[in-house]
Amino acid sequence: MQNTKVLMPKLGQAMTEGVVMQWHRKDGERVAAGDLLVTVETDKATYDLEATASGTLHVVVPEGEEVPIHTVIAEIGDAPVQAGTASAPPAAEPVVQPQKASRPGRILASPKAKRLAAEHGIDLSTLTPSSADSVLSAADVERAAENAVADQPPAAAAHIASRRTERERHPLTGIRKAAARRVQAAWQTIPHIVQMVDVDASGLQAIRERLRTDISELTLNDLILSAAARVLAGLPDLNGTVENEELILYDGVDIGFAVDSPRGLLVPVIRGAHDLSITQLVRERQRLVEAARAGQLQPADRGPASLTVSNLGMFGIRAGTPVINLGEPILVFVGAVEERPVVHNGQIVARPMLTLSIAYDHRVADGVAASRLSQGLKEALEDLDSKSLLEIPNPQSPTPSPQEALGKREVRSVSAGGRYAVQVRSHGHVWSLDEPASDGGEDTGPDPVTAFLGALLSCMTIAFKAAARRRKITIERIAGHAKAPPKGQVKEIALTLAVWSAASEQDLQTLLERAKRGCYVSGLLKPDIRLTVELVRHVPDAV
Amino acid sequence: MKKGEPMDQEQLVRVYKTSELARRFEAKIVELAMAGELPPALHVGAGQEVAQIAAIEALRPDDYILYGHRGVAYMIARGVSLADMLADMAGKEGATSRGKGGVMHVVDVPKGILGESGTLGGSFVVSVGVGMALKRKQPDTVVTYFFGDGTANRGPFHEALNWAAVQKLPCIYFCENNGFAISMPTSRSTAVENIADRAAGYNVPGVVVDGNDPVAVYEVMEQAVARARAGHGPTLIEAKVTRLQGHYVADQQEYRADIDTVAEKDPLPKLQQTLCDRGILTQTDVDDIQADADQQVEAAVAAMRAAPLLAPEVALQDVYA
Amino acid sequence: MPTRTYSQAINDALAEEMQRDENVILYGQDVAVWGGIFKVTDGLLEKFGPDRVFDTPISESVMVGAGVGAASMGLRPVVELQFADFVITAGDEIFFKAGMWRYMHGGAHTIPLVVRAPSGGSGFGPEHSACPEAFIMHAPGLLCAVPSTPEDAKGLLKQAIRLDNPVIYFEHKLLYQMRGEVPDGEVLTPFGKAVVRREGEAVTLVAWQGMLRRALAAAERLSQEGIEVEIVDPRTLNPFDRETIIESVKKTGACIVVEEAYRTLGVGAEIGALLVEEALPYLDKPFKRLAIPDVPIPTSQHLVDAIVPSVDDIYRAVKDLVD
Ligand SMILES: Cc1ncc(C[n+]2csc(CCOP(=O)(O)OP(=O)(O)O)c2C)c(N)n1
Ligand SMILES: [Mg+2]
Repeated sequence: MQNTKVLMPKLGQAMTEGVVMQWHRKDGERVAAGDLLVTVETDKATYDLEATASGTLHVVVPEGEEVPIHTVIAEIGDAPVQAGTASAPPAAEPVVQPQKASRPGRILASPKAKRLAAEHGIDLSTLTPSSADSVLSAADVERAAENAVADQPPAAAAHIASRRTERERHPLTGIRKAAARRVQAAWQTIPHIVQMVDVDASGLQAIRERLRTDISELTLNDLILSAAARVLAGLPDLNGTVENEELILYDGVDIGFAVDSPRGLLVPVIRGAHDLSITQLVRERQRLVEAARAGQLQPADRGPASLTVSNLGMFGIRAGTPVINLGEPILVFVGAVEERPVVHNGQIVARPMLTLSIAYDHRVADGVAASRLSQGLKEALEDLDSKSLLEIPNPQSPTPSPQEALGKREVRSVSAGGRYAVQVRSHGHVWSLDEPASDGGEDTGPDPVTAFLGALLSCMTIAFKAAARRRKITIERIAGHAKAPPKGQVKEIALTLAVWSAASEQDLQTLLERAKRGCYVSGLLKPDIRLTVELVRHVPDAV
Repeated sequence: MKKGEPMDQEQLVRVYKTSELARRFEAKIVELAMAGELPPALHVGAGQEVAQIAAIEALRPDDYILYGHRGVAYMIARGVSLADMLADMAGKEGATSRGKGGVMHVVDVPKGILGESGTLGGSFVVSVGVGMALKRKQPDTVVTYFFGDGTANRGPFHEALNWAAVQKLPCIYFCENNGFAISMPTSRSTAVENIADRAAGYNVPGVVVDGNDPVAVYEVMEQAVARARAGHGPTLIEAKVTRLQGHYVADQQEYRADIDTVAEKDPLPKLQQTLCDRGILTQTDVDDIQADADQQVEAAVAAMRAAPLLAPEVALQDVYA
Repeated sequence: MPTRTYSQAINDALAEEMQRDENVILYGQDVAVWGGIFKVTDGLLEKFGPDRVFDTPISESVMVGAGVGAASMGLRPVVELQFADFVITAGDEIFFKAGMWRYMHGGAHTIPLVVRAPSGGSGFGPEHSACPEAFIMHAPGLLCAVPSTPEDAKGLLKQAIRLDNPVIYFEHKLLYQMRGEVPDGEVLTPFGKAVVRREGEAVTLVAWQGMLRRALAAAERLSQEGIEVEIVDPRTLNPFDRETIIESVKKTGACIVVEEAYRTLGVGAEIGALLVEEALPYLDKPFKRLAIPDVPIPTSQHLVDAIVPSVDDIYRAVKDLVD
């Protein structure tokens, strides 16, 4: 057996020699791998080295002497020390570097980290664990390997030389990790062009004041969201994305807006914003903000959108070069409203101004097309008209905001005397629920389960029709059928929608999928209740 | 119970011959075990082999047997190779259970020897399934399970007899009551006087027979077989037998009060005497039979000695089909 | 594709195999006239008659032991135990007769026996709620199936009936009413092939049956936070598809086993040992088990909830591991 050689380590980029300060074990003593062996000093610091093998210690370089790096300062083992070992060994000879005793005892590293370190030729003792348990992880090694590839100075050297010392290190997790990935992908794949337009905000401010008496929650940003949606609805060529060298164009405008939440920046989406009155839009915006803050955004509440508005005006930022959200063509960055000197009718006057910095996916919009939106938005904002804002823009296809429906979701009931019958009232409607005579009631109305089935079936039908409207598919008639076991706990509900329409089976199936998602009543079912919805298509007579 | 067919002379001679062979074969095994050539794993059947062989005489070659640990006469009666059984003990090529079961799990399905459960009474429940399969796939055949008096106290006895009776399976339960379970006398382990008395609990016939009388054993067995073949279900037979030797090879039997007189109860000399008295066999015939038995035993020992040990990897085989 | 409940899928498998092979017989307590206490075998007596579908006395030992005897003589019995816990009640017959009859007789017998064992659930108390598959997995000679979907329930049972080895087939009581797609035509699920139920990078979850459903629910939640877990469903515990688990752990570097059974020396312990023996260089995080602390399973639901791994427990365990 050959002895294991202990070398003066190279502990920093600039280190060429080191001093043996103190031998912690005596010459001729038996040492075990991991024992504290020797303290060496460089011009910057002192280091404790551990034995990397077990056996008898043969000290070659006594305390106090300075030697070049890679000099054999001791040998461990039971073979006699060879003469002349004090010179630097030839490069081919395998040498064992003593490990830096950065922590007392052995280096804690996950088995995977150890394997990767061996594969990359990385000395684990030079790494700092990032996790709280002080165990080196595979990620630590991978990071070091990347750094090595980038030919950066090794961590230990950086540690010594730089004033910018690493304080903490956290692997990105959760939303932050996902967001980092997405923003990187967006930046790398979308060719951005940014246009900036200044907007005279006096009209905006005036309108907001006027409408606030009715819509107390109205913000300037709501007006911008609304205007952006309407302008974009008039520029259908900009409502698209490029995927795999295909330009995909969309009908309908969904507008995203950024919300700061405890879990990071979220971008909820107002669906069909171009079809909403400002009142509806504000309600939906409020709902989404609350949901985002509470961490309760549903998948349907999230992107991609046709256009996203981001507003950093409250931080006094005037303009920027925003990054478009992945899968979207446009991002409107809204700057601060501020008094600026402008020339008005030949006079320099102070006007409340804001700047829009609008980023476009250059694959979707060339400069001219982009300018149409930039300019259109400017004009719309400077020339807002409260009457049209309050109207539902496209009365042929009104999409009732879920929020609007929610406002009505208040029900009162009364049940008098010894009877089961319950009278239910809501917003001017009155109806009764009861039990059949066989179960002790008087059959003045459906029993609650049946009534619920009715609600479920109706909701599914309405959601189906709403989806059809949105996609401009004509439905002549829908006949529904709902069935649940006659007695006791309901575990299974089977719905059938018979739909009379000239649309294709595939289109109707798509509508059904939409309807299932849009049917809020089915959302009230316990998850273990099995709901099936079957579609039966009838082609209407050609007459 | 009505009387079965009586045994004919030829059958009685066969019982005698087989009993001589079994007695001599087991004695040889004990000899080799004492010499250290074989493991001392045999529970000698001496004294019980006459009943065992007489019972099997009432079966047809296509009937099946599950057996207990008391000796190897069952196998000899069905013609299993002696050399193979020695190989079972020695862990050599030819072993019927390929070194997995030793002398306790000798198996030869074509000869109707299905095997043994090492946990006593485990074959009660197996026999029920065998009966279920026979009823469906090989009607007119039967399965007989031989077990000891001590084994009759295990739970599976109850479950099996009950369900076999309910299903009217072609199963025969043959208890060899030798008065002991190792050192424990039956009188201290068992509340009923006769194991067969329990048959009433299952609504099946329970018959006690003198196990030292091969003709009587044959007769009750014959009846039980006929009943089983006719689809009327199981019978519980109890043969009162004598365990001439210790429970296992080195058992000193300090617990045994009848130790000095037990040899007098040996049924084998009596059987030989009867055959000679009736003029069925001459002394020369007897000498020939004994010499032939010894010769078969010696040939088997020689074959076992010549066989190679099973390869170690055999231990890993036969777990799964 | 048609959808069937797990229970219907088992019934379908039995009916199809009994139709295909007249050696297949089915028996157990209350399985024939009553259709089984969980109604799994409903209608089979009418289809196949009392000679092939029949009720037994309350005699677990002889039910299983007779299965071994009948199997060794050419039948293909399917035995229903009313509760999986009773594999211990019929311990001699399961472990020694079914598991070893062939071995101790040097391969002279083949034992094409299936023991169906309804496992898991709660409210039944300590002797009626267990998932005792680790006992089976520990024992030589017994194949062990743990189907988690209607399709696998059917495919594994049909395969089990055709195999020439004894199979302990655990059917989870809480899955009986679960509905899922079952392909038309012959469905045969191979033994020893795990399936990745969900792909991810963060950690490998190994779970089956009741715990698989919880693991999938937890995974859904984790996914909303950007954590994608990989879920491996072993489908059979013997044979056990080690490769799929090891391959997954090579990717994720971490593994959590979720088990509806006692922790000590459970299936999870085996997987942990496997990873240490064969995948140590790929482990980046401590191996973890979520299982029932070593206590019997109580009857009251809230006490059961206190000891059986929940969606929350799984969610938290993953978070603790990846954070
Ligand atoms: C379940 C079980 N318990 C105990 C034993 C150990 N054992 C082997 S033989 C025997 C005595 C059996 O007595 P009996 O059934 O009367 O048969 P005998 O030995 O008298 O022929 C015992 C206790 C065993 N093999 N299996
Ligand atoms: Mg006895």
